[in-house]
Amino acid sequence: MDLFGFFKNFPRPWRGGVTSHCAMWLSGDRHTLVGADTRGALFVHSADCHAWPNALPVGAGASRGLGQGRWIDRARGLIPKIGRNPECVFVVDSPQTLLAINTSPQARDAMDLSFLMERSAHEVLPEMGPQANEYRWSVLTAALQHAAPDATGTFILAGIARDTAASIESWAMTQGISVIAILPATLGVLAWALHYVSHRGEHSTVFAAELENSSLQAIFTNGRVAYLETRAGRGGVPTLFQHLHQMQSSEEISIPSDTRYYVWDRISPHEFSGAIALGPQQIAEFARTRPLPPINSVPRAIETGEGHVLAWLANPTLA
Amino acid sequence: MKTHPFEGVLVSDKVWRTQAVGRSRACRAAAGFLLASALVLLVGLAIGYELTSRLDQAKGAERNAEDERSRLEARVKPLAQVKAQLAEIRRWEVIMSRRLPMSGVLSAIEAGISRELCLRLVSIEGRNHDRAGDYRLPTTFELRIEGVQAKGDKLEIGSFANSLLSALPTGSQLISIEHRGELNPATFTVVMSITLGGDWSKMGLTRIPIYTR
Repeated sequence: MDLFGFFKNFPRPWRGGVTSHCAMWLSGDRHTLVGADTRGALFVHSADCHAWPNALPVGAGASRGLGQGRWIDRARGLIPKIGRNPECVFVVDSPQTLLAINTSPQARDAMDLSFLMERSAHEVLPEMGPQANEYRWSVLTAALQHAAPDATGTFILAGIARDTAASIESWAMTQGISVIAILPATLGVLAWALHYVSHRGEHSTVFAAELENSSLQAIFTNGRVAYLETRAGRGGVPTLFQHLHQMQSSEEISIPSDTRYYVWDRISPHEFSGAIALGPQQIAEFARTRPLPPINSVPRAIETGEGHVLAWLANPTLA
Repeated sequence: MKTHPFEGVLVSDKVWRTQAVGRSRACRAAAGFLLASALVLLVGLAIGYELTSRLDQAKGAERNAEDERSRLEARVKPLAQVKAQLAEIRRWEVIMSRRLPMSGVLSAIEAGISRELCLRLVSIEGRNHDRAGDYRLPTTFELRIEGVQAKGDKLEIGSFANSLLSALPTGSQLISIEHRGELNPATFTVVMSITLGGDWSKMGLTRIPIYTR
């Protein structure tokens, strides 16, 4: 089955219309695609892709063995109309992606950093070694916006292996899809959390998320990413909290007492059918199965209705 | 129009530029314009083709007609001399159709005259001329017969005139009979009008065409 077969089997959102924006979550041998039409109607569909002759070579991930066709409204499921040349954001949950915060002294501003990432990325990320040069990089500000050439301060570096990105672009062109962006899954989730979690008037927020192939922890302050750390593989959230706690103990980092903690466990877009993230029950399960280090407050649930991460990435201008 | 906040992130410049061509409103408008232009051009070409083919058909028909005319002219060319002869005959036709068979008239006079009559003068003059093409031709003739009578009376002259009149074409008239019996020998003059429109067959002349106006 190729993408058109994938589209053909799509359940349809409830209000009709032509879909022109979509986001596709690529994770191992299972892909999930969320489309948003011009009026905000959403559809979600996931399918095993290991049988696809032209499946994307995106890392390795465990298939959860879920059935196909998990959509928002089964009762009203119809074949969707896919607009010509849909614009798609590809979200890649793979070890071949990287997300890092950078305060490199070599980079005075975004232009310098972009130049360095293009020419000698291993100097900016020495822990990656020469492998860093095999990656394609984008430089974003701490507010996760395109970095203007004269921007200074903290930068977020998003990277993906050149081969993987080229494969996605090549595949998308054969499917008649415009590639709007190729995002590491951690960046997509980080942006979603920054949009929905940090803009609540709270001074500081700690956000942690565990994906299938990576884990993420960030501190948002005043709508900007102040701290970011990622880990490859599953089960990294306790380690991240442990590290955060150590840094707090050694006064490397200061976390205000009124900081709120949000934990989003098991982010797998196949497993939710719309606008849920971590419910109270999942929080309790998370806390029971993964002993967290002492933190200042009990992790809170992200309320339902916040919006599906892929739906938001598909068309964030509707949010 | 709002744009995606991550537009172009980790997308190669080459792919982005290629896509931008397709996404740009101006490019889409240009594509629409080009499509419409192509459509108009296509319709124009179709119309042009139709007109050209019709023109070709007309030229072909004209060429065929020209060929046919040349062929017919080639066939008619050997008949040109015959045609000229026919035209000459037609020029004489009007004259021939009004000729008076003098020999027939004289033969009728000879057949009808008796031994006692001796002719001194037979004259024929054209009368009532009208224009036929380039010629002025008579429509009637006046026959005057003068002679002497050895013996007999006026009745014999009348008998001669009547027998002659009966031989002449229908429509011919006896105008006058003058008999001078006091002279010795007696003289006579008979005047008749001969009409061309009559039938000469009574004289045995079957090949004289009947004159019609």
